[in-house]
Amino acid sequence: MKSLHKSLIHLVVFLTRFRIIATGRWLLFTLAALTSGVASYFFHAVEFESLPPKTGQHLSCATELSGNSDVFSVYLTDATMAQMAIDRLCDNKIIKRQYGEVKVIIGQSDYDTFRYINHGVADLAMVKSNVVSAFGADQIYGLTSIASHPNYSAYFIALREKPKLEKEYLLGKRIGLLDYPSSRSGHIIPKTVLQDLGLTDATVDITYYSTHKELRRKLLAGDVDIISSYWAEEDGENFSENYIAPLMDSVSGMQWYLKMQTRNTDLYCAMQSIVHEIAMSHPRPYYKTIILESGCADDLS
Amino acid sequence: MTFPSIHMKSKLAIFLNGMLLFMSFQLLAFIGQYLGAQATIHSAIDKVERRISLDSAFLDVGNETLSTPVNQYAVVRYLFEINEELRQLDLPARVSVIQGVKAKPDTLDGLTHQHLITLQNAEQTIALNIVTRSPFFTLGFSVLALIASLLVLPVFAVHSRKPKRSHTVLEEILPPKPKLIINLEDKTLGNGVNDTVVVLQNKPLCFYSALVRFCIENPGEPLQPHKDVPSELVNLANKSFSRLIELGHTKRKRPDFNANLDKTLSEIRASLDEVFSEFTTEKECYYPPRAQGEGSRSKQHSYALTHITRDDIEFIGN
Repeated sequence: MKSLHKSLIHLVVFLTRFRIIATGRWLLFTLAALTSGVASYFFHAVEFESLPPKTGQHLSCATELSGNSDVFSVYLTDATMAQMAIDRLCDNKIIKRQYGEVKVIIGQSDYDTFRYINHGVADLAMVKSNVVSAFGADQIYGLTSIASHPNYSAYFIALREKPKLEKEYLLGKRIGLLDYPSSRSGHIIPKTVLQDLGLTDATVDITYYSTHKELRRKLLAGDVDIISSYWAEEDGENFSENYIAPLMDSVSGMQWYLKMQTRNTDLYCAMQSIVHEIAMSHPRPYYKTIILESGCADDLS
Repeated sequence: MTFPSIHMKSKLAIFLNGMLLFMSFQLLAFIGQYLGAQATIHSAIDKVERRISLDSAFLDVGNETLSTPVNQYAVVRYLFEINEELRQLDLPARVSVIQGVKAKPDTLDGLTHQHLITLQNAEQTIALNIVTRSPFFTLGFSVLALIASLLVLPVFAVHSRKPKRSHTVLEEILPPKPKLIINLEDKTLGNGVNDTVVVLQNKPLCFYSALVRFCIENPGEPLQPHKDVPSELVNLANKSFSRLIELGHTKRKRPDFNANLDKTLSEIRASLDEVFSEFTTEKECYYPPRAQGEGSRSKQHSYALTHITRDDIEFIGN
């Protein structure tokens, strides 16, 4: 019994001498410090969900039209026109009868137009005729013209003088064109003219822009000497009609196409009616002129 | 068994300890907050980068191979939309530039920490600039650090050891060592550990106290029974007797310390046997040796206390 007592005493002396008892508080300190650091990390570390796609603009009806699961797809490149279309289409009784949903896709580029038209996605679309005919979408998907806006001319437009369609004149000039190759007035026709005059990218300074609006801004800013575009009534405010040179007199206008894979005459006439309403309501004068194709009893035009 | 008592530090020391603890934990909290913010920013950038990588196929960011320019309008609109989404989801990142097209400053919500990222596809590279808040922006006071320091402080408020007290603690833990106590006031012998005391007659008490002193002052000096008691020892014994007279224990004349030496030593041994009954080992130091086989009158025998030192003894009333 006595030896056990002595052993315990020696153990306590040993622990005290080597500070094993005192070490406990440092273990506690380390534990608390680590807890403080780790907890702070987890309070501040946040893992986020993936972001949804931000490209691809489209409009839909506020409520489901019917139990029908078919979607009526519309392809447009003008946001104002898209809003006008969705309002009217969602309220149309023929659409309500035949479809459960309307989806208006607002195209952003030539690439969008190519995909939606030439893969037969769009039931109704306002596009240029060359896009439809390029890949035979009219024959493959039965895209039928129901209305067309008037033809227009393509021009070289300058700020301080009338451009001449001569090689010597155009040599060294800074010319602004549109970058998308389906544009006739902004890309196809001017490049054809330059090619006919024997001018290439190496002999003229061509700069590409994304929109007709941007072309006009660059011309006004003096970034380019000449631009190629259409002439609109409102252009008279910023530019002189004396300083434009026609490249081609008649470029076919924008056309409305309806996918007619069946003889759906009700829909044909309903769409003509809606297209006419949109044209009459659109703020741009060009769109107010519209020629409807024949085939409906009521002559809206 | 007794436990060592708790010794609190001074209030100033406790306060300083608390401050140091809080600063230590707050520092760790800062590191945790910084790394957490870095992880959050990294996650946000990762999500934005992935989104733009996927969207760039449908976004007109131009094409170097086809020499087509960036569609400024489309990219500005995209920047606005993605930054609105990031704001709604409360991500600490905004996209400030895509292919040189800058977002409107008010969509960046004041974030300025820039991260330049380059995405590469088969035909071109797409340069992005993502702005985030600085990871240092989130560093702040940690309630957890304060709570942790308050919880741990009590442990640091007491002394872990006190070098000056280490021997005392040992003494408290180890059993006390017996020590001969000669009390001339009570005429007793004691061991200093328990209450066992034995009352001695005047003669053996005076002789023993003189013997102890003599042996301490003359270590190694033999005291043989067949010889006369050394005069120094007799003088010391007489002095002790004089002290007893002073203390009022006796008025008789002093005894002859040479006479009946064996009887005197026997009385002393008997008393020591009783006083140190529980401390056999320690008793040896104080015990006048007996003759071992050679007879008490042997010339080799000595009754001197050969191992005794001044520290082994305490006089009371001397």
